[in-house]
Amino acid sequence: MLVSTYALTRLHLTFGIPTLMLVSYRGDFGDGNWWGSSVGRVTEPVLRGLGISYEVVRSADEIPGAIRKADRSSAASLLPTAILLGFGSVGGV
Amino acid sequence: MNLRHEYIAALTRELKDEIIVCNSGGVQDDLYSAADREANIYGPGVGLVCQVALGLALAIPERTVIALDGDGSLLLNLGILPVLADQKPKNLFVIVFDNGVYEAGGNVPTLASKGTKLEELARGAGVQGVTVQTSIEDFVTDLKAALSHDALRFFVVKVKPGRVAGAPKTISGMENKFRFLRYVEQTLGKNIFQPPTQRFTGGKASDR
Repeated sequence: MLVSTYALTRLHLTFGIPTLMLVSYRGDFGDGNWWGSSVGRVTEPVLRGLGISYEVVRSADEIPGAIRKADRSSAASLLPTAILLGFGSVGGV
Repeated sequence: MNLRHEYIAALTRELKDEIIVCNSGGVQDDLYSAADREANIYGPGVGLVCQVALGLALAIPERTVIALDGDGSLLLNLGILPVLADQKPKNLFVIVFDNGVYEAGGNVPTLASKGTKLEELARGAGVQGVTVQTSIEDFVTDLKAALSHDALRFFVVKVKPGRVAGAPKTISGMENKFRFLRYVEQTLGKNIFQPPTQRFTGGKASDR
C-alpha cells in the first residue's frame, strides 16, 4: 500500500475512484518480524494523511463484514477505502 | 522526424469508438485539440497511463483501448511491461511517443535520449507486437492494420519535442471521469454507479 501512495494521490483521489484495498498490515502490534516494524508504525498515519477511511481487522471472522462496509463506503464517497489485515487475521508469520 | 501532434491528427482520422487513455502534458493538449471525445481519458498520471488502459481493456473487452503514453511516463513505472506481456489483452493498443524529454518539465532529457531503447525493454519483458515508427506514412499504414488486428500491439513512435500551438486546456479529471463513465454506461449498457445502499445486502445485520 505504501508503494501505491503516488498512484492513490494522483489517480484515485484526483479523479475520485472508489477502490477497496485489502492491505497486509505488516508491523501490526504483535508482529515479530523486525522488517515490518517501521512499516507498521507509518501505515495508519499515511492513510490518515491521504484522507482514506480504513478499518483494522484482527480476526478472520471480521473480514467479510469489513469488506461489505468498506465497499459501501467507497461507493458512497467515490474514494478509496482500506481494510488493514492485522496480526492474527490471516495466516503467515 | 515529425511532431507528436501530427501523429495524433493521423490517429484521430482513423478512430471509430475506441477508448483512449492519454498521458499528461503536451500530448493531452494535442489530443484535445485534434478530437475531444467522450471516450477520451486525459492525464491519469505520469507512470499510470498503460496501467489504466490495461485495466479498462480487461474491464471492457468489447472495445479497443488505446494508450497514448510517453517515454518519461513509461520509464517511471516499467513494471507494467511484464504485466502487459502476461495479460496481453487482445483489445489493447499501446502507443508510446518517445520525444526523449520530459517536455512539461522544461524539456529535461529522459534516459530514452541517453541510450535506453523502449522497444528493447518491451521485447525483453515479453511483449509481442512491438514496432518502432519513424515516419507518418508508415505509421498510417501500420495503424490501419493495428486497429483491425486482434492482439496486443505496442508502437514506439519517435517524435521531436513540441506540442500543438494555442491548445485549449482539457477538462478537469473529475468531469472527465463522469463524462466517460456515463458514456460507457449508455453505449455499452453497463451499470457502473450503483446506489451504495443496494450493495451487499446480505451478511450480518450489523454490517448493513
